[in-house]
Amino acid sequence: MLQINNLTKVYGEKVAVNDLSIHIKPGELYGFIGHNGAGKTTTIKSCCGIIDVEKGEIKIDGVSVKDNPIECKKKIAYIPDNPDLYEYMTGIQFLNFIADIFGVDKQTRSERIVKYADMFGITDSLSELLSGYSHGMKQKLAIISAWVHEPKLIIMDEPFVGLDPKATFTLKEMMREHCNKGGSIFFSTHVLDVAEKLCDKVAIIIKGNLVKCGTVEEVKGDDSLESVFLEMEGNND
Amino acid sequence: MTRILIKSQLLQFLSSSLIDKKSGKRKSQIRTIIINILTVSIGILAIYFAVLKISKELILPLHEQHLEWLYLLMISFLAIIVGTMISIFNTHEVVFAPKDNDLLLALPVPVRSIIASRLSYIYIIGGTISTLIMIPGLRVYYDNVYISIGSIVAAVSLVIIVSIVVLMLATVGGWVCAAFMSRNSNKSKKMTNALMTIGSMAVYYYLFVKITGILGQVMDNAGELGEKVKSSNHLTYLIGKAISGDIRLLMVVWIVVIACSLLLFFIFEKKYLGYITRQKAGEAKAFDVGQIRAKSLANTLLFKEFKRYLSCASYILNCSFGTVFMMVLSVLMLFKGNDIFKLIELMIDSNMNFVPILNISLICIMISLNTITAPSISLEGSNLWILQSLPISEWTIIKTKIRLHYFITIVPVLLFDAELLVLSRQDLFVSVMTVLITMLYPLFTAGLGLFINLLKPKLNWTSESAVTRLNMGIIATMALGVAIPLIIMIESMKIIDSFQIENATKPLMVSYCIFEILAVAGMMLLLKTLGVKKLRRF
Repeated sequence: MLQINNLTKVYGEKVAVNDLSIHIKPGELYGFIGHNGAGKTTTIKSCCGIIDVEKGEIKIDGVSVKDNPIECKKKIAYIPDNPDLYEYMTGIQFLNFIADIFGVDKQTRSERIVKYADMFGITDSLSELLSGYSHGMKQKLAIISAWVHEPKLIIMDEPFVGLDPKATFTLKEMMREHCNKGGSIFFSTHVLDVAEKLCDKVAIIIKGNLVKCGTVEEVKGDDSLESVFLEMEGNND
Repeated sequence: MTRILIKSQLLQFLSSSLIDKKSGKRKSQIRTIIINILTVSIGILAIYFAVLKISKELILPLHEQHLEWLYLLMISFLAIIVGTMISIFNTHEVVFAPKDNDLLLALPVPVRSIIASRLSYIYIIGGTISTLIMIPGLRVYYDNVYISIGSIVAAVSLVIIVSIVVLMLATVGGWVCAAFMSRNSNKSKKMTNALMTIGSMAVYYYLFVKITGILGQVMDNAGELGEKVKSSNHLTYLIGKAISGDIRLLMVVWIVVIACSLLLFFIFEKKYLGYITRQKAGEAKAFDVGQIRAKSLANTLLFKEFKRYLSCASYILNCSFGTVFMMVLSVLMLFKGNDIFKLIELMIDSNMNFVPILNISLICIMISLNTITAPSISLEGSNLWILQSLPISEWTIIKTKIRLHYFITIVPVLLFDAELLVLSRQDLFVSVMTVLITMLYPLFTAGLGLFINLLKPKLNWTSESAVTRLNMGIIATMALGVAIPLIIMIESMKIIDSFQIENATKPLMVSYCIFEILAVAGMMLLLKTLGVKKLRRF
């Protein structure tokens, strides 16, 4: 579903991502772990076609992001770490906008919007302008906007930040369900506990370098994911 | 503390010209200095010469009647009006609705420091405009009156007093706007916003149209007017005497201005925190599934652009001059059309061959006053990731922004076309060519504005007014848009005049049309290649 081959991204003299390769299969829930500034967001944005890829190749469902970005973007949904949404729209207008872009028919979008808005408890706020939404509400709306067109691949940058415990639980359920239906999810997180319990596979990135990846069991061995991560970070200091 | 905040506010103001957006590093000093000097010089010269012309016409009749105080009052009034009108929407955006209000409130910063830093920005904008108007006005004044130490002290005082009055009025005006908007629910907020914008525009254009009439009246009845002010409005007369060199009266004016500004600042300080911490969300219409509607891709993108346009008063106000001008002139033409054409006939020596070219150029000049696309990329700001991550081509985004500009411009253009053609009684060929040319030109100006914005967007703003005020991009779009039809008009008239060809107008119109088709095609090609590339790289 997602193939990142030898991705390198340089900002001036700083190497943000160095020769990174990750492969995600359909149905996989893939966690991306790293410290602040490790290169997680750069990798994620490159996958979504927001950042130009200078070296390496990214393919989504066999299509190159660089050569055919529109085809790739049709298959994905992206949720950033800080969802700056159109504050001049109401919640429902924003969801309609996203559904229109992906050509979701009225009946289907209606069912999905009602279902997910109820799950996150924001149905009553859908008629309000987004300028009045809290960070958590915007995050919930961004999540619904991703699920409204049910893409093959969902890419999320720190999706649990700002969510209340109930919404965090709901999102985890939704993620699992999406992957069970054959979709894939690639998300970054600092919450190692969540990564350990939720993900099929994880990748650890430190200072732009991929230091370990594989199934959760392969990566952590007999230890916890937290201790493995901290040990690796300590070795790289 | 106040000094740190003022510095930060001013850095925000200057950041687009001092910091490179991509690298985050300071730009080359020489480049920055050259660009800033050029930008500022063009603005200063435009205002300087416009006010110089008005002042020269005004001073002579007033000087003859020894009414120099009235002249100073009028120039000060002009500076106050223009400075306040330009600052008022900035006040609303910068003082009441900036995105970093919450951040500052969370810091251990006294409210008075936050207010001082916000108002310093308004003072610089309003004060610069008012001073730019006062300087040529005072230059003309000193060309005609005896210079004394008292009059110099009064002149310097006057410039400062005017800038303070502008700040006070802009603060009160912005406050009223903000209070009015905050009392409305989300549902009626858009309507309030639109009404306020239309109201402000009406005041703008009323003053613009009225000012010529007022100047004419003053020049014709200077003595009478002076006596009238002296007898019926003695306070105004005393202020006039003070600012023309009466030091004792000037001291009183200073005391009054300082007292008023301190009182305003005191009240403002008490109310400001209450206002900006008020819950902004109002009553919203309850959600029902009927609100889930499907649109085509093109329509949903256009809807998004319309929402963006209608949500920001300063965007509408600063970038839709052309639409408003055409609407106002259309109404005016309905009632005074024949008189206007008689005047035009006199201007062109009854050479009716000029009329079609004159009509087209006039409409094209007004079209170029619409600069809706000029800040539209910048306005995406921190939302740009949405368009970047969706399966929409950059060219589709560009086309949608051009469509919005076109829709807002084309309706008044067609209305105005119809009136002009009926009133000037043109034949079918001229009518078709006029409509064709004036329908093409908004495409060119829309593309031009967008291209200029793509070259130098400002995406990291904290207040929308930072990109919608009359900045270099908007002014350049307007200036280039006006220059092209103006040059074509002048050159066409020269051709018609010098060759004395009976039917030169029609071939000239065809050439005009071909030139526009090529210009539009060139602009679209530029946007489809370089523009798309630029947009992809943000």
